[in-house]
Amino acid sequence: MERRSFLKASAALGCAATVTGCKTSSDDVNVIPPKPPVEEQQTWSACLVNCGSNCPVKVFSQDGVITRVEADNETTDEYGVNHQIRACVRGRSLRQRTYAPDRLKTPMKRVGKRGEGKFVPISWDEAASTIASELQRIASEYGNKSILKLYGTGAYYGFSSSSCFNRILNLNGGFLNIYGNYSWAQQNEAASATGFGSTSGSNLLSLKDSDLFIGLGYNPSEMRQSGSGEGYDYLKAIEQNSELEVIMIDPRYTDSMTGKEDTWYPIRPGTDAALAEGIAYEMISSGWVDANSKDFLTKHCVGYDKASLEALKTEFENSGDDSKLEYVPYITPEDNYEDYILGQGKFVNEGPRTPSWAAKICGISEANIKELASKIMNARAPFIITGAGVNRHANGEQAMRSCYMLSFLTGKVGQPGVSNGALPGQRSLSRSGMSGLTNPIKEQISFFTFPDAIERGHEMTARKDGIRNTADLDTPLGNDLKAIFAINSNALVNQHSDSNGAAKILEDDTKCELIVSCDCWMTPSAKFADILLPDTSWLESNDLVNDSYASGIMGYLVAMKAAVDPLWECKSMYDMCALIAEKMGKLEEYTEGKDEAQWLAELYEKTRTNGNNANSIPPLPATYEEAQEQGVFRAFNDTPSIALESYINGTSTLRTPSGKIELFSLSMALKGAQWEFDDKVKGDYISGLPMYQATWEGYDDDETSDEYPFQLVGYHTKGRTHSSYHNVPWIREAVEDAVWMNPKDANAKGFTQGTEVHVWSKRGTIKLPVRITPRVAPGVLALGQGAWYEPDPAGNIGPSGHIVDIGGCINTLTRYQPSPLAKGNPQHTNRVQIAKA
Amino acid sequence: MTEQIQYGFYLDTTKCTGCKTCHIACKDRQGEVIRKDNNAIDQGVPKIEGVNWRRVYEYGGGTWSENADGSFEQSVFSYYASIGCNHCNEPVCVKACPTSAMHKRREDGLVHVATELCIGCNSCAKACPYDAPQLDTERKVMTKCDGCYDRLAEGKAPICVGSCPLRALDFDTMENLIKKYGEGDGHIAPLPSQSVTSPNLIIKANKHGGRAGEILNFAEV
Repeated sequence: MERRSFLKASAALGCAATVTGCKTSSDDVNVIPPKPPVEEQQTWSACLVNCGSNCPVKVFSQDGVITRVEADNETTDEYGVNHQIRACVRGRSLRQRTYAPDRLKTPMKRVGKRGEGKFVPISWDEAASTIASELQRIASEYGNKSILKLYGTGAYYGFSSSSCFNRILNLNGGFLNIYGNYSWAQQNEAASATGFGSTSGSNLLSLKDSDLFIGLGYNPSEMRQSGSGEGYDYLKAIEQNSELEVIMIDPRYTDSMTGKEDTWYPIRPGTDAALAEGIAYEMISSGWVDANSKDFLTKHCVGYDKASLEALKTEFENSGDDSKLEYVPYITPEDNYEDYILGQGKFVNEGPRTPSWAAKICGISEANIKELASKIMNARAPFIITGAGVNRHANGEQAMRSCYMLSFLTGKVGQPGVSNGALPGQRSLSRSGMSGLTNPIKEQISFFTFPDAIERGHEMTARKDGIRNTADLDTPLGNDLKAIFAINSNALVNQHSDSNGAAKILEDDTKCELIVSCDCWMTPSAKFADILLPDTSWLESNDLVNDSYASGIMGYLVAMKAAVDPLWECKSMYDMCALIAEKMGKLEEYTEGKDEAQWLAELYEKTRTNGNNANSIPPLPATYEEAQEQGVFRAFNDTPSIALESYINGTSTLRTPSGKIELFSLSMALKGAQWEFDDKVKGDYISGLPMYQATWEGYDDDETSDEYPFQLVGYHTKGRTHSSYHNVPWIREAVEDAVWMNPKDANAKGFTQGTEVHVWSKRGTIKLPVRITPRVAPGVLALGQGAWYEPDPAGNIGPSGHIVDIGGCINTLTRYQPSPLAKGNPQHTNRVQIAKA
Repeated sequence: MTEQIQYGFYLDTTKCTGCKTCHIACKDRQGEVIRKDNNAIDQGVPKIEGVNWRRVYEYGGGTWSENADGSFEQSVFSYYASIGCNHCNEPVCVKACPTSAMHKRREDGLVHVATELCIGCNSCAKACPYDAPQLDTERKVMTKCDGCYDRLAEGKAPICVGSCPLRALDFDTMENLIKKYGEGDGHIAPLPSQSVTSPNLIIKANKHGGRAGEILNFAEV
């Protein structure tokens, strides 16, 4: 924008009023073009990335070419009744993404060194034969546990989904399972240890009954952009409750604020637990908890005070139940929350967790922490959400649990307008999807630990590495990984931590002997494939999908119809896996005698008769073909849901060992005592109590703070969903990829807006522009995650001693260090340095 | 003289999250207007870089200070403004045009470019305080938001309006918009005073409107 033009325009004012008469509309360019000779077609498709919503898109095509993409504008758009499911910036760019120059157009095989990105086209026959014979060879030579299907979320199909690969892998005798995911690994563990049935709390409809909303790292306006999604629900909930005070706590001033907030408290990454403890100290030391919520804590929770743990220990000792007796040695009444927060009993040497103590760590002042505590205590119905950003840290499990504690200290969980600290509840319609068949292999590794499984899978155990479903804590997994199937997955190098380190392990094709990648585009992970399989894009697909997993209150189904035939030699996952199954001699078992149309008819029929879809608008028609013509089916259930309501107000018990909300987690205490940790890794331990856990490269890690003075935190940029859509030039122009820096820090470094910088950690160097903005806390850098890893082809070495990643991928900087309990990704825990490039 | 139709936009800056959906929805249609001959299968879909009929400005400011214990105090704010063309009553772009290519249509008040008359001199772009004229450097002609006149003829709203996930945009005759929203709150930064061009844009002001700040996203607009 050129501001100088403003002054110029002012000078031109006086005569501007005459211009309306100066020109007619006779110019040809303005005449509405005649109807095109070939009729334009309109079909429904959907955007199937991992943002939480599968928005429908209306696709226009002409003569076999997609001409434009529009949104669902089909209803009268009344919120809470039939509001439209408007695709965001990403869905609207699908035409450019579909025809991207880096589309994979034919099957290919690697010819250079692995990871170099040198491929030659091969036939589908050769691709399928190679995969079938390699699968058989690797299974017989190393065992089925040496085959992994990598975590991947680039295409949430219902029918022609990555489950088609599960089918062929299972028909080959099975494969190693994974648990957890890059989004929620630590919070899944934290929620379950505390007693939540899931990571969902009250839904945003219940905000109408609240008078105080606190979001810790909660950012629906950027995370959940869909026009029917959680971001829209959040906006409507705030608009409709004029009494609601909105407080946001985040290292960034996010787009979930921009006028919707009453107060922003900037916080240092990874220090949320310290803040929570400072607030808890105020609530407890003031006598407020004793006076207001002690009964709730006694009745519904264990671990608040010494007496609750003593009583539990006695109960368990006398239970005669082996599953309870197992925990008895680890119930230590002196490890209670009250003593810990007040710095008494066992914790007298640590001292109390006062606001003054917390302020030094988290960056929120003592006065503001007291103010926050006072608001929470005085609120009629405090609704607290802890976003998943808090969980993606080296101390993520405990940080989530520490934040959850605040809701319980109020004693109001279970009441209207109150939540339990978890993410908001969602609603969905249900679709039936392709079965992956049954996997005879039971062992699981954390999704995150595949590099370890390549190098030392044979010795990995439950005790050291969180392996699940082995015979006991010390029975090793027994196999190294020899084959990886990366299906719509960019987690091989790009979305995994330490991209340089992961690349190095994968480059050695004597370790992992086979990498198969199935994708639509040449992603940084696809470059590491031995065999590349070109998938059809959504716009070339017939499929049946629902709203996905975090799409807000509006539930929906989309009956997708291919706008154009498969482009180039691309095949759907169903079809390509059928070719592989045929080469395996398992075609009949794979297809079950059905073709695509028959599968879709069957899955549609199961979907149509599912009771959860009974209120769909319009009702689901008799056939899938009719559903495809209609495209979108929706339903809004306007009943508020309240977290833990049936437990607090009913008679149900929770699935914790105690059956109660566990402030002191028995399962974590047990694992903390039994598992093996690395004492060279600061913060690698598990405790039963949620405690602020100082970790490697945390704010207070003085071992790294001199050399790497800045904390670097990732965030979900509006311009991608994780790494999906990175290769769309329109969006790259509209949403800049730059590292955010506070003006104070930028001035000290002598940077100006847009200065090209190197950012580096112990693990690598990236190059990108700096965005100087007051919207990030001093001492903190913020970078939208998901940019594509691109080691400089010129081989330039950065300050870290690695080839500079000119793609600006945050994971070039992140550390591969599985978190203590979830063995998850600590990708927001980073210390870095920055300088002019 | 009977009163003529004048179309205009409405923008609610309390709702806009700067998501850029309008920007991209516009670009998808724009490509079909100014790159009609493109062969997508062989050539991909054109970038048309730097030619953005709709842009989203990020405006913000505030100060930071540090307490003795290292904790922060700040007064930071930000909000967004999505702008296409305001099809002004006093369009300085038209005045600035040496060839009369830039013109305001009598029948609906939309400001259009007659491409065959345009010499690509960029005078209109320099005059406009909203960056509405966007020079197509490849074809060396000026382009801009045309109010989706083709969609209007079919009874549809401009592509940006129906794209907005937050329902922050609207478009209609000014008469209807005023009936629906009133005159609005007056324009807020980074928009110039309405007195400059008499824009047909009603603004609902963000609560931070009126605070001193600057445009934070020059690279995106």
